[in-house]
Amino acid sequence: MKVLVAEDDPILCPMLESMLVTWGYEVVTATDGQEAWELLRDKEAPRMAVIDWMMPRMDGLQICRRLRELHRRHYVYTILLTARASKEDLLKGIEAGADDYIVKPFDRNELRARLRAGERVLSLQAAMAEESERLAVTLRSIRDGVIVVDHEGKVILLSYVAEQLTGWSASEALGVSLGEIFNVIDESTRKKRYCPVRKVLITGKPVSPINHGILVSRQGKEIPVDYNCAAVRDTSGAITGVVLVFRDVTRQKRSEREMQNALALLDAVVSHLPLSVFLRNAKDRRIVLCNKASEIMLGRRTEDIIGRTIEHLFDKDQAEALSWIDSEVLASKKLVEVPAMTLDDPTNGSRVWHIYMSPIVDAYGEADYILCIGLDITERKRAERDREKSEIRLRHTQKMESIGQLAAGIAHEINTPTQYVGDNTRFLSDSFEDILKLLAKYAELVSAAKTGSLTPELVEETEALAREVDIDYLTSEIPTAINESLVGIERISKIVRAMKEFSHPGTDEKIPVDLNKAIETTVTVARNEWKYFAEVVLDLDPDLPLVPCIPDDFNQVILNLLVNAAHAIADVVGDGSVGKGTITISTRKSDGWAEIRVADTGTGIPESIRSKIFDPFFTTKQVGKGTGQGLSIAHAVIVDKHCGDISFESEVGKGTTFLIRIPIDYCAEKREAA
Amino acid sequence: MKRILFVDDEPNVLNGLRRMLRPMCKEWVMEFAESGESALNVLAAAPFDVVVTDMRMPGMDGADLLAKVAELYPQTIRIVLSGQSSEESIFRCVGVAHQFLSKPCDAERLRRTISRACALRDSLSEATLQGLISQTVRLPSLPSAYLELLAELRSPESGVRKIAEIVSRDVGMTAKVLHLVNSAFFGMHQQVTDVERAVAILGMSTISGLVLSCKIFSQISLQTMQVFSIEALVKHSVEVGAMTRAIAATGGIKQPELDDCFSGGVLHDVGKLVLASNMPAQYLDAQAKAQTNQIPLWMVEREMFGATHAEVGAYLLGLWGLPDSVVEAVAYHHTPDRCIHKEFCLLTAVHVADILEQEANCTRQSVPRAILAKGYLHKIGVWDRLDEWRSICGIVERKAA
Repeated sequence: MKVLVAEDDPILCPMLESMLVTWGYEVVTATDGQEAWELLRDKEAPRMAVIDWMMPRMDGLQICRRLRELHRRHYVYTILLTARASKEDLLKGIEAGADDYIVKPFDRNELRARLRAGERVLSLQAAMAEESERLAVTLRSIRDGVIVVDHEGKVILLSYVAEQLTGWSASEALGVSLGEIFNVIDESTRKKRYCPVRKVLITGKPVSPINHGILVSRQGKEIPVDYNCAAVRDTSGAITGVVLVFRDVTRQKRSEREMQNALALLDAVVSHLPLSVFLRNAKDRRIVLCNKASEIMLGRRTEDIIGRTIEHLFDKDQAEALSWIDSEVLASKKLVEVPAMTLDDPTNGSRVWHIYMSPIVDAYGEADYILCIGLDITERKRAERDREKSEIRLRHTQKMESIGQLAAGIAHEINTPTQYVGDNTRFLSDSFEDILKLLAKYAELVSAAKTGSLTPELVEETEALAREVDIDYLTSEIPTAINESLVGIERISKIVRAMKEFSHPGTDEKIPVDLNKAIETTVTVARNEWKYFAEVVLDLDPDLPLVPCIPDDFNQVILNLLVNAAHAIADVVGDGSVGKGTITISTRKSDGWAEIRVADTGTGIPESIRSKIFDPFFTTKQVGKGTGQGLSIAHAVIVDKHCGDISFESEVGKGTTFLIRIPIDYCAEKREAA
Repeated sequence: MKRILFVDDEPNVLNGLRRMLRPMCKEWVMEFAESGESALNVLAAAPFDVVVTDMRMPGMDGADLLAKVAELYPQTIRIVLSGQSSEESIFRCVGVAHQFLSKPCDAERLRRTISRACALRDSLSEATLQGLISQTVRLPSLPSAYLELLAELRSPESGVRKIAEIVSRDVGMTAKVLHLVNSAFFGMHQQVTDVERAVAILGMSTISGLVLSCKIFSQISLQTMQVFSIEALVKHSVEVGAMTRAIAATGGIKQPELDDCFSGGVLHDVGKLVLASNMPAQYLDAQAKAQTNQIPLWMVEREMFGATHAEVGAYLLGLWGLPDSVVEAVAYHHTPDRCIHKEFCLLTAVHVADILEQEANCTRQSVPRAILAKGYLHKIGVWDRLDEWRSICGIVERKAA
């Protein structure tokens, strides 16, 4: 420690010097007041000074006074050394700024003790200065503005940041009322806010952070701030001031707003999705977010969904099914897809959902949330079902249509013979009357002959009558009329019989069928469809065994092929000018298969459509002439129901042959089906 | 002797017909052909009064054959005798056949139909007119009625009643619908003259098919419209229909015949449609001549065309198989005393209604009015009821207005 010894006494000065050096102080000496002052003003000035009151050029009092006026950062501890021992002098010295006072002649131990005391004061003072420096640096370093006011609300400290924000410099602000400097309005109402410091001064309680305020700076700049304040108390607990801390929240506000916007956007996107979307916390499985569309899936209003679990929203079975998916999602940490899940919901009935469930994984790979997206596929499923139904209906329609067409044809087949059987019968009836008349005449002739009264007139009359009724015509025509009528009746019976067999009381089971007979029946029933264009030649294998078949379906197939063949020929023979075509139907047995060939001499199938002819709805006939189902049904019946196959060979301009193969051995068929 | 040609691809049918119709051989010369082609050969050799053909035959079918016959021998009456019952075959021959019979057809009906056709040939001596009428497949309709009908048929809510209502307000449509329904295709054993019943029997789908694809109704041509007021004719006809029914009711005619009376009245001037649409220029002349010379139009018609519109209408309706009572009423509606029936009947009502309607609307009629057949009305003892009928018709008239 460096100590100044200012003493004009040439003996005392070196004595003091040597004493202090002995005690371990570094000593500088001055022998008059001016010199002492010069040393104390120096930058490297000693921290303690032992100053004689009475000195030439400047006395000790003067030095103390000047020293105090300097407001130096480093405090200089001064001890006045004097012979004046009166109380007034002592007060005078302290008043002038001296820290201590030693009366000459002094005791060396006393001096040492006083120097020690001075040292303690200095070190305390240095600690304080250090503390205050730390505080100042801290204040400067933090982003918050700090203002300290005294018990009257006048500013006594304004930190650097506070200066920046308020627009006041610390020096200007000192002593100004805080309300003037810290001018805050409400963010939404824009009304001036009551200064919180007053409240603290009155209540003594700290004010917790206040938000949504806007600080209006001295220059009129508006800065969003959050602030709080607390009372400063002295050791007795009395309030001596308040510290106000405030923070510029511009960036925070902006990022908050940006976040809000981003969330709103996301929310809008999600809520407008036509998909049911909801998010559950992976731990407690409570729903934390859901969109509008999910109300349908979950069967409740949004406000009633948030916070609930699946168990609240669905019945036990469905909740369990969904929780299985949860488990899989959490175990695999991957998207799990359920293509069709039916969920009941009390308001909308049961609906079918395509569900995607995926985990939302945090940075450590833990699933925080489970995202569930549901696509309502109820309508699609319904449409699929409807389509299936309509396909079945259409097949039925085709069958009804061909039967309807057949019915018209059959009616024609029956009407025609009925016409001539009726006409012939009418003729026979008329003729019989004539014959009766003639017979009566003959009877007359006979009885006349018996009685011998036969006259040439009578014979002539009889002959005339015979001529009149044209007995020759009748005798030749009546047998023909009877024969033709019988033929007609036979035709009617045949077709009626065939009809009965064709519309075999529908069994859907396979039964052993005589295919030859079935073919004959179908050909008879459909006679009206082909007879105008074609002759049908049957080449049926008499050794063909009974084949397991659904008779109705088999007849339908033969009918479809026969009608197609007739149409193909009709396209060739057209107006009949080139004569009729031929349809040949043959059956053969071949290695456990029954083979049926339907060959026509029609147009043939063009190469370009050969791959399509078995497709449903494919037709080359004009609208209203067919459903395009005939061959598709034939294919379904032969291939799917009978485990057989159907193929064709065709040459354009020559004709087409369809080949059907059906397994004869029922067991073999079963094996194949298996 | 009338000459009848039968065509059928089934020889047994021809044999049966030949035997069954043998008793008619004193009146008819019958020929038989087994195909359309051979029928045309037979026709080429000598003309026939009536052709009766099957519909479905290999090669040329009945519709094709009749189309050829209509073209080559228009006077020949064309009848179909078919075992087909599908709508398609009706549609095929609706334009070419005068009458349709379905197999099996009983002997009586066949004989009667052919006899009637033959008798019809005698009723109209003018061969040109015969050909003209025989070729008439459809009659012109009021454009408004035609459009209304099309709209109604396309509407999903169309109904029999509404269709019938539209048809019955038009002369041409009424005639055609009755033509179709009286063909044996529709399995009716009694003849039908009530339009609503006819529409119900034909069925909505057949009607649509006939109207939309077969075009059984047609709009009047612009040329015809320029010379002939079809509106006036239709208005007159429909009013006469209503009056005929009202008068017939007072004469003791009961339901359901009473409904037929309406059609009888509506159709009484159908011959005018035939004449005006086929020869509009001449018909305009005839109307002008009647006005200038102050003589009834039908007299001018007879002079110019060889037949009156009454005879022409009767011939057409006869060809189309409408009931005799209607044909008779149309044929004699100017000259009821020439009819062999001498009691109150449809003819009486149509005759009176026709004249009373003209009386009531004399301003509209530019040609001289026909006159009541006083002698006829005296003879059947209804002359004194005229005033009663006048007041009835006045009521009908007011209602219509």
